[in-house]
Amino acid sequence: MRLADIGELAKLGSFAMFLILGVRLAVAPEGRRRRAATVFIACFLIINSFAGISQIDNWPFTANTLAVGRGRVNSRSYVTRFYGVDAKGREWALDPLTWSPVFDSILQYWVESRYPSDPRQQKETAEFLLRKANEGRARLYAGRGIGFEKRIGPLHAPYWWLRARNRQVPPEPYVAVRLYRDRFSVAAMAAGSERYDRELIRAWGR
Amino acid sequence: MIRRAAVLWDRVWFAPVSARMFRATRLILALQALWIILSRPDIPSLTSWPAAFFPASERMMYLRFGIVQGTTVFEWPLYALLHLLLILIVAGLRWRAVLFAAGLLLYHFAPFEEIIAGIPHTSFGGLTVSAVGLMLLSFVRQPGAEETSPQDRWPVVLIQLFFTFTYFFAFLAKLRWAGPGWFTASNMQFWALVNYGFSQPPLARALASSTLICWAAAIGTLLFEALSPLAVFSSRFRVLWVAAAVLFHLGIALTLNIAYTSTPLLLLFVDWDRVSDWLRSARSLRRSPVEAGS
Repeated sequence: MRLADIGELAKLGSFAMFLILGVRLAVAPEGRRRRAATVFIACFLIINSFAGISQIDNWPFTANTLAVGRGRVNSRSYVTRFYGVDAKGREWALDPLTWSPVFDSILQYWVESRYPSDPRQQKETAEFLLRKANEGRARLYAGRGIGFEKRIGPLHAPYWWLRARNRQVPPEPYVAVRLYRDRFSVAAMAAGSERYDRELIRAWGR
Repeated sequence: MIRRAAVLWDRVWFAPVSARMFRATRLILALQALWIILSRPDIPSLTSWPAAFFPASERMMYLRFGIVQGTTVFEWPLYALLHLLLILIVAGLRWRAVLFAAGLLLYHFAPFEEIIAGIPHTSFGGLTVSAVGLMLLSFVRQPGAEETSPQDRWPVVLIQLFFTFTYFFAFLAKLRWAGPGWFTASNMQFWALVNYGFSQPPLARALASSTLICWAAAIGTLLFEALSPLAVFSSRFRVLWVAAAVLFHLGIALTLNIAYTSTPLLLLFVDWDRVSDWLRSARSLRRSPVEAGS
């Protein structure tokens, strides 16, 4: 068994412990209820504190790690963006809700870090992404909502990263989807020069 | 010393509290979870995605949350059931089995949004406190309407404390990965500008252009996050902290484009007994002139 699998089992074990102690508390007779509650509170605090202090995320007992790095203004960074390509070769920035239930930044991360090496899976993935991009395009072209806004429209809870929506879509289907990496200088952003150096990472379709 | 610690422990967790706080906690958790669930209509469809998104190497992580590729036909009814359970809780149903099942289904569905990339940010998805909170409430007796009991306090306080861990552990994370230097003006400037490069937040450049405001943001974040658990134990500090939390989230939304869908859970810190008393006296004041005239 791999170390990562043992880690997952340990995390599952901590969740099971939360449930077992909870059930024990639920069935405790009146006279022992406070003691059972004390044990439950103490274990709950220990499990959570371990995640917080060790910074080993154990969702739902979480380490809450976000934006923790320390950067320099004179460094460079990058952002990745999906584009749909129509039959005339024009590129259209894809709406970040296109891949719902997965937000576009998560799919970008998956492509960059977990893209399959097996050609059969790559082909399947390409067909899937093109189909999904076109489903979103068709709904947006028909003036309907996509992703999070399907049910409660503008009242929907956003994804934690607020990225600009792109509702402009072509009338005809996309024939390809491309993923670009746009590199930029952090300092240049302060100076008002929003220049990006674009690099094609992957393309699916024609 | 041990005796004093025991007295303090009892005062923190087992001081009598009205059933209203307990009921308000249950309602707020269910409403917030329902809002998120209604906003994520496609969640069960993830299990119909190609096998490449479910690599064998990650199977254990998927199994930890009961997620299996190809089970979409079961996921849709379960997701519909989750909606129904949350609506029943909001409507006032107090069955512990319903609370437990809703919490467990939230635990199952919450990681769907990110599991293909591991679950790096599921804690920010908005369902963490609701999932744990509803399960936690299911473990205890549901109080009647007018009861005041020492047994009803600790679940409310523990859920509040769990919510403040969001901020306190974020503070520990910054210390662990970047050190105290995270809380400096130059680092604030970096985060504002790099996020401007990512997604052009409306006030990112304005923040980055002022060293003074960057220092204020750095020190404000340090104090707000590091002191967050105090909000559970001090009612005076709680008022300040909740106001700071609203400002904090507004600030990061405008300067970093980061939203936090658990923000409505700040309502967990409202003293609902006091609100109820205030409403009652306002109502009787409004009624009294009419009564005097009749």
